[in-house]
Amino acid sequence: MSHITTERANELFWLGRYAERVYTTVNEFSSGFDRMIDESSDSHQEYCRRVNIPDVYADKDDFLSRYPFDDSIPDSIISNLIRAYDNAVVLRDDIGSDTLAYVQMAVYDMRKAAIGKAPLVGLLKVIDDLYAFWGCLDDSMASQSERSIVKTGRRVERVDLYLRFGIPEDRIQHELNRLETRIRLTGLKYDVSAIGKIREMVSAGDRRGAVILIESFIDV
Amino acid sequence: MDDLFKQTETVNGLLARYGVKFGIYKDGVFKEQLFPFDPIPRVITKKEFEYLERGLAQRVDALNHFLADVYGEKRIIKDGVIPEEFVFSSSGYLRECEGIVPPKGIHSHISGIDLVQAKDGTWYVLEDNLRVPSGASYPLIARDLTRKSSPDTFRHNHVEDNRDYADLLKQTMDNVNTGGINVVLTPGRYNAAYFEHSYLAEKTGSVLVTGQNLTVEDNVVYYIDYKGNKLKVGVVYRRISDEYMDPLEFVEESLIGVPHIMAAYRAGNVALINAPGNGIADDKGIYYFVPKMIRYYLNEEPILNNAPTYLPFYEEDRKFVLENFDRLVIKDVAEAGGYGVVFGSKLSPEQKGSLIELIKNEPRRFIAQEVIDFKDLDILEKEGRVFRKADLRAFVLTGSKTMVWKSGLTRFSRNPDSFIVNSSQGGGFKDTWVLSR
Amino acid sequence: MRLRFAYTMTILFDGPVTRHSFSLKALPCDTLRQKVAESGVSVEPRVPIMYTRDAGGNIVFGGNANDEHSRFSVTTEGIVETLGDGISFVPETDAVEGDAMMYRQPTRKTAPGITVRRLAGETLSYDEGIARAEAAMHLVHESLQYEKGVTGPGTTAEDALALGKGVCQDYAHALVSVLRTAGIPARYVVGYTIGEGESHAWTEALVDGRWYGLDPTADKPVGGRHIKVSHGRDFDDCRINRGVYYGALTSEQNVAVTVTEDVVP
Repeated sequence: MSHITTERANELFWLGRYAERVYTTVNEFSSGFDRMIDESSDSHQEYCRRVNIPDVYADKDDFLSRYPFDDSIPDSIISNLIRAYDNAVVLRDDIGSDTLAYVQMAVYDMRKAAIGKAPLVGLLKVIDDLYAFWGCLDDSMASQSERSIVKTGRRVERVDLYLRFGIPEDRIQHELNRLETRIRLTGLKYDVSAIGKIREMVSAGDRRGAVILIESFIDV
Repeated sequence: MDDLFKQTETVNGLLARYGVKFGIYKDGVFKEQLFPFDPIPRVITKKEFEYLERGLAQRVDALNHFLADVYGEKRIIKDGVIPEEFVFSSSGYLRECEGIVPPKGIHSHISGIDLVQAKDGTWYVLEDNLRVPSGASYPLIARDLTRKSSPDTFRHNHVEDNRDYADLLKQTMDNVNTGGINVVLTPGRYNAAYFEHSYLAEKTGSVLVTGQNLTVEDNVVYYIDYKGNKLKVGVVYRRISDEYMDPLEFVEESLIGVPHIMAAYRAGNVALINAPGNGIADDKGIYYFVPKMIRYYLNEEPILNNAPTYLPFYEEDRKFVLENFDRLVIKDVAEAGGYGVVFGSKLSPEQKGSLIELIKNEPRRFIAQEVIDFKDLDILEKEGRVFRKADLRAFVLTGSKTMVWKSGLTRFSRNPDSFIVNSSQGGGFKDTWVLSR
Repeated sequence: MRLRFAYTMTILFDGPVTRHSFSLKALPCDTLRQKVAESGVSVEPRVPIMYTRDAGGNIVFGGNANDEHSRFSVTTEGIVETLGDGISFVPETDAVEGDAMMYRQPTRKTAPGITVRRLAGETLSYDEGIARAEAAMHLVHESLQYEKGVTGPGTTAEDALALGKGVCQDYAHALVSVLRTAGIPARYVVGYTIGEGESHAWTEALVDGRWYGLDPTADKPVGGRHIKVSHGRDFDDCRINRGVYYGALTSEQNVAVTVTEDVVP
């Protein structure tokens, strides 16, 4: 199948974005968790501020237990994973049952991690599921343009989060290169000059402007 | 087979992994539930299945003749075999379909025929489902997963591979395709059978669409992709019911249908699977006449039995029903899915009185059937094997010829006192094995 | 007569709507009694029009106005040559296979109750034919008083007769119901007529293989002043316009029909 509707293109794009958001935030959370084990003061506020999510947590411990696992918080990691699942489940005939199964398993593993004593070990399983998801998607999705839409979503999300997390410029420039190559294969409408502008903004230190542009330059 | 039972948890884990679910609304909230799977298969011998196969194909062929006749010449009514009251006053009869000859003349492409087996081994047809019969995907994927979980079981038992269902379905679609792509039309993610819609779309290589993805121009159905390309649609395997198909001809409030699709269908520019209007043939009142249809159209004796049925519409039957009320099951022909079914013996005197009054006033609305002494099937529960009521939905596909899928959906009731096996009422399912030798 | 007709329907939405699909049965077709000399359709906003026929053989046209709009209008107009003096009965069409069977059955809106049965009983002394149909028309006309606003689109024949009041739709339903109960296949008709300002409804009876029009509101046979548009089992089969759209919650719909005698220079 090589023809999809605008609605489907949108679902593929957001599947990529949410899957990546879970992946990068789980990794970021894991290193943050490690740091916070030794800290006595609350340092989660900084994380919330950077990622631009409301700080609804009572203290550090509340953050550590609820930010990844509480699906009643709209910005928790599990809520983003459920959004990835919501997009994936309507794409079964596109991405294939096997690919979809990995998103489903990530949800199950996330629930399991929530009740375990060592959440970071549980979260490793979620990361495994996401690696398998991307591998399976690459292998089983025949249409290059559709595959590229999911991966464009992934790259956009990664640049977006890297900008927010204060990741060094060279790594962001590298991700922009990957995005630029990928988006050409999608057939999506987008502002061709935007990536160049984002590069300049990053060089000039205007990360806020870059975030606004990365979130708006694709018509999907 | 013992190995298969030991692998129950593995199979259930795999079913969960692949999201084999059905949706239900509980207290107004949509929830997805796993469809409980029982590992003990229903086993049908080769010989027994050959008998069922002949009977089912015969029945579906007669029903297709009936549908063509009732929306065309109406010979069966003129010849007095079926009273016209049973046709034109049925909610399943759609005048909008009058005079339409669907592509290749096929009305019921996918027929789900519900059977039960009595203790003496006799099979009875309980119900024909010719509108949007669902459920084939469950035994289809369950087989795939049980074979993975317990290869030895399948090495030692010779079971017909049922994983050809998607191919059969695709051939059925291709057979009537008027030129264009194949699509599966779903009401959307929050439909009880969404798993099935998406799974069958994937396995048949069809495009899964909602009504909003299709548009009709100049009486042709198109699918529009994100680059703005228009693709003609040749066949719509629609998983939405007739009344929501086209808001310009049926329920106007329907947001899941496709405006003008009936005009495109009437013009012969698209095939709809199944054809709209089939509700007239699987009406509980018309059921009584199916054996007569077989004799009338095919000039053959029916191979499969109907459950003994009485029509209060006929005075003689009405008398019988009132005299034997306590041993009969009464069905309201307007209700579906296990609703509107009552056992005469289980009613209080007041309920009984008011139902009898209703039957006298609206005899056309009811049928009465003998209660069949079901042969119960064994189910594996935590405490061991228990026996429960079960039925079998056989899937009959009509393409260039009528084929019976060598499997079927066996549904069972989890409640030991219940005769009702619908998934909407909390039942589970089993795989259905047809032995190959 | 040579009649010039124009039907205009306008919908004003209280906000923008999109993906507006519409379908109308508002064009007359040729019958034994009328010939359409000219006819045309125009829709605003301008979109392609497609044509089809419904199960009764009526002309249906429709389309999709997908772009945003807050006003929608459809006009049909043309010239129809009609027969009949309004005194004697003129056949409208020949019956087709299955008509008798189909139009004998009651529908929800035309199911008989006590009043319908009583009126039908009173017609049984007349010959089973046009005489009985005419007697039924007189009875229905006498049983109802024309009054707007007391009945609605959902009113049944029995309800209107029990109330004793109604508009042309109720007269037509009542006559359909009485005729069917008296053993004469009957159908509901929508059309246009001189001096009405909106659409009109009447009844046809199947007698000796032909359909004849009876106008119970006027208590006269259908004749030169009538332009037939569609027929069906009842009002629901003949609804002039249907539509679905996304957007605005409320809308105001106006219909204007004019029928005048066309003077040939």
